[in-house]
Amino acid sequence: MYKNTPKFIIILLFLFLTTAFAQGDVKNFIGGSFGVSDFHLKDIHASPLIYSGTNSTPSLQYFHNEEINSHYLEATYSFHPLTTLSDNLNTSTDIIRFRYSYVHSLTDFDFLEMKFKLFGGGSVGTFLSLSNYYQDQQATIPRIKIMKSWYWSHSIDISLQLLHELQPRQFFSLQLFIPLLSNVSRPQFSPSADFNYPELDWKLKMFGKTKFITDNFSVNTILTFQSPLYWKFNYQLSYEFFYSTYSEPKEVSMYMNSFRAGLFYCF
Amino acid sequence: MKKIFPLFLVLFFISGCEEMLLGPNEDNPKSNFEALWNTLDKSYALFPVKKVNWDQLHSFYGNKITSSTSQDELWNICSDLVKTLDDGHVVLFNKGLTNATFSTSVFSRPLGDFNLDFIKSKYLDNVQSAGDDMITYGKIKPAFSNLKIGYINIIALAASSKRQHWPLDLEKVLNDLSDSDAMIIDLRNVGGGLKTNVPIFSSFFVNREFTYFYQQEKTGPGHYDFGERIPLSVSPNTAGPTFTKKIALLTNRFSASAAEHTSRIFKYLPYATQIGDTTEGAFGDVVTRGELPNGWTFLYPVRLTKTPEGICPEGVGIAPDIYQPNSKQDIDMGIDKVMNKAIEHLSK
Repeated sequence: MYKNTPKFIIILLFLFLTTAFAQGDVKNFIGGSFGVSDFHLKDIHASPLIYSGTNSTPSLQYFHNEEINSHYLEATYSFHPLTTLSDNLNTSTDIIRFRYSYVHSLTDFDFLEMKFKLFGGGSVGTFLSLSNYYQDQQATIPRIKIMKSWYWSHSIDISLQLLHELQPRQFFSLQLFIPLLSNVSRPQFSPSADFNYPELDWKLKMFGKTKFITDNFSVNTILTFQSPLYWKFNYQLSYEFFYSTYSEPKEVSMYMNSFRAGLFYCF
Repeated sequence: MKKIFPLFLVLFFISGCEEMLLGPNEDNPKSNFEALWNTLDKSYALFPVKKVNWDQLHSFYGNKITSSTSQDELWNICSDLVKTLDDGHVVLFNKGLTNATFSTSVFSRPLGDFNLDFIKSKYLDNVQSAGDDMITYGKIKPAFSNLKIGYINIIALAASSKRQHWPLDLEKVLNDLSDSDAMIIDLRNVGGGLKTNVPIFSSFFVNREFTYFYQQEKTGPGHYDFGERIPLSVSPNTAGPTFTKKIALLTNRFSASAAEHTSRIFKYLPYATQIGDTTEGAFGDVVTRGELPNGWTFLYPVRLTKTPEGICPEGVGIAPDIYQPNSKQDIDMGIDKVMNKAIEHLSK
């Protein structure tokens, strides 16, 4: 499933780099960041328990900031071995997200003696949380896979960005994404309904039901600080918070805090 | 930078409240009981045919639990709760899987009414095994009948240590027993197995295609929320031999689940007669696993099984055409009354 992901990312980055260079005097920031992510999951379809864990999370991002608009592209991945109250139960959870956002300048204003630009627009993205649930048993069968569950949302989001530029190549950015319309794939009510007997595994489905914001609520904020480091390179510090809740086939809620540091090329 | 730092803090504190965002995650006697009761309430498929008032049971057993209830006491209370379902597919396990409570009451019945070694030594010639040793077969000694009677026993319909579909080896078995005038198929003590092995096993003995059960899967939290009917069908084996002469199918109270599905198929065969005792009556399917905050786990079925006529044999079982009970005393005395009855019936 992930075999073509690197190729896809490289092609997208190449396309954006080409576009950016052609535009001349614009602010482009492209780079990668790495950090830790703290993920918490309660998926009653699979378990009534909260599973949580902290692990590494790489991210590739591209910012294209102009006076009146801004483009943003990101690809994020994290893998979480999650644990719960009982030490014989655990999961491995993959989190993948792709997003493109376009925002247009709404207003400029001063706050706390600082100049801010507020942008508004939309984004399209996909977010997948895929969990395999395991139970540790006796030594003869140390670990068995007992369930697979997922939350996969493809969404059209409201996107807001608050930008505070301190000097060239140095800025704070607070981005907010809230899905307005989503297509959500979840397992069916009974775990066996998704079970592929010949392959002896649950079959992940890419698409599911289309839902409005009230039925599939998510909020994602990314607070970013970039500043010059050396030559055309910036360093970036970011904090991200993600929360999502959905009710079918049984309630699933999750949230994630991610702290990352990264290196960005500016042109 | 200093002025924006409080924003970081606000976001961090909001996002750090696990209980606020996801609800409580507690391991206490009450939460463990509630997790068990709630999961079964929403997902267990057989409430429509079980004569239990699940809400009343919640009050009755839930009221016995306090914050000082010990793990042993909780185990007994949860065990009593699952036993009210009297279901062969509902099992509660402790954390290390060293202790289990089976919901079914069948284990309260006396054991020892079947002994394969005794059958092999007393009744059979040319004893062989097949299907990764899941199948034992041979020929009834000529001293018992003038006819040539074959005998096939299976341990279970579960996967063998090597593969799932070992019943395909019945091709060799039937070739070896091809000169038989009649066949005994012994499903006594077959506690179940893979549903997919049922039509494979049975395909060697049926003479036409037919649907023997319909199943409905839970599609919602209500006790009557079910999806469309899913037919379970069987058709004759076309790639190899079949045996469609006179058959005696032997069952007892420990013939359960997949063995009962097989018994149901043989009910449709005019040349087959079921002899022995009624099967266990465990027809719930697709056994699913649940878990409790303290690490205990439990199994429960999510599919309701009914005959094409709309009758659910859960808790009833498949009754024999010829009732012939056995007891441990019979076996100890060197008599298998069920085998004797089968040979007598086939020899008529």
